[in-house]
Amino acid sequence: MTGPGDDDSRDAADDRALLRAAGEGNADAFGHLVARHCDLLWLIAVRLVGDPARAADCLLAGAVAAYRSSPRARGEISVRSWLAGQVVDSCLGPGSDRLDPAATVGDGSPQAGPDGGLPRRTLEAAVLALPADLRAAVVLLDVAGLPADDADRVLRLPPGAAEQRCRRGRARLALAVGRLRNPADPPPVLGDGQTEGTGGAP
Amino acid sequence: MTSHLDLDRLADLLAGQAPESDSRHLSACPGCSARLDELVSAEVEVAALLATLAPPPVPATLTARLQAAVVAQPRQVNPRGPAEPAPDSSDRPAGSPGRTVTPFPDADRPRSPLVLAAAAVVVVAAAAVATVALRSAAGPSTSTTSAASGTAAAPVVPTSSTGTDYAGGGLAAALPALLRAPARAASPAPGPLAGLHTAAQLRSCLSAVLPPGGAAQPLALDYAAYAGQPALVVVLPASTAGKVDVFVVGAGCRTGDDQTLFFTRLDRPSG
Repeated sequence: MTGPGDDDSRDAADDRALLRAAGEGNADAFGHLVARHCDLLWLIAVRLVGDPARAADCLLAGAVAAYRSSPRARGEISVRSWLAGQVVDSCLGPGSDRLDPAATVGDGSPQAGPDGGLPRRTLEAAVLALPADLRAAVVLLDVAGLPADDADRVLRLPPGAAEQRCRRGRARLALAVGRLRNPADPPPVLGDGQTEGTGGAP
Repeated sequence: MTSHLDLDRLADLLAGQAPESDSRHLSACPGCSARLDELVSAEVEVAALLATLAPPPVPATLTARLQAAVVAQPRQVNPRGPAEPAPDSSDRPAGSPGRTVTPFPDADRPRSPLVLAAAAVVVVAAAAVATVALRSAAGPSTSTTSAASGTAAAPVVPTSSTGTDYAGGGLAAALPALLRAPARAASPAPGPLAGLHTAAQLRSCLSAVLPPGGAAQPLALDYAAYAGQPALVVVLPASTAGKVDVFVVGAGCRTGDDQTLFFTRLDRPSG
């Protein structure tokens, strides 16, 4: 996604060749492939789980899963995105908090405190506090820069759903780090539909 | 009148995923419309910040651990050849081929694949202690018969103590001499690698780096250094003929924590 298209397509072809070799049992080729994308995979793992030691573990587990399944890899998304998906599965898969929204760190939701009284967090902490489904979408699209189509496939979602989750995640992040006043405090309903603040609907 | 749009519904509008009723509400509600404007500028800022979030540095040992973890994997060659669609995957996105491969055991998920590999090796080693001498016949032409006597635990391996710091290279050049070194069992010695000179810790360390179901013992050891740290070089037969896998591990190497500092696969010297 940086650099000219020719370089991108050459890199992608190299990736496919390395993955094909890995699928034929060439561990060196696989090591080379992962090394090419190590920075990206590390970024994804760290933003998904926070703790560097855990991130290293789940990156390694994701890489091993990728190597094991390399004979069956298909070409529907880029190798880069496919590797990213393996790391997401490893970091947020069974045994992690992916299926347990209660396991988020802190509250990623905007209901806390009156008058925008959410504690200010660093953006990193706010990302970790998002529910896992929103966090995965934000990390893949906004942090790692995957194409939206690839993110849908990686997260096994219908078209457009990753983007939707990412937008929801961004909105919560904007609130959590104080870039957005808290509009989601439920406006107190006064009598017959009058609401606080903006004067209500016509 | 539809109730005011909460943050998620406003975000859905931006994503083009909102129901028609929300769009109608928006056009009729100045309050929600104003909030949406705020959200638009705020989320642009957030997206820009997210794109520039720098991660902590990649751990220096990550690449070596990756190589070691992958090398430790038993090969699974697809009988249909590589890169073909799985027969049952017509409705499955490409991101999920992992479902068709052997998963880690759920009941006791290891912290890392290396732990799993190490655990498997411990089992293999326990069953194989009595036959260490026989198995080692597959190794280089060094005398290993003494392994069957006494405390069958201490591996008898060509062992050097070069002290060389291999961070600058030189492993390939040193390899022939390391493989020809006199075979001996671990015996206590002072210094920063004293732990790995004891049979118990050496055995524990080897269990962390030997591949499950593969070699029962290394081809050579060298008490050396890496990037200024004391380190043990462990040379193993590779899964590929004519190659050896070389692990450089830290002084604390033991089961479950191999402390791999460097890994490489080299040509096995002939003769």
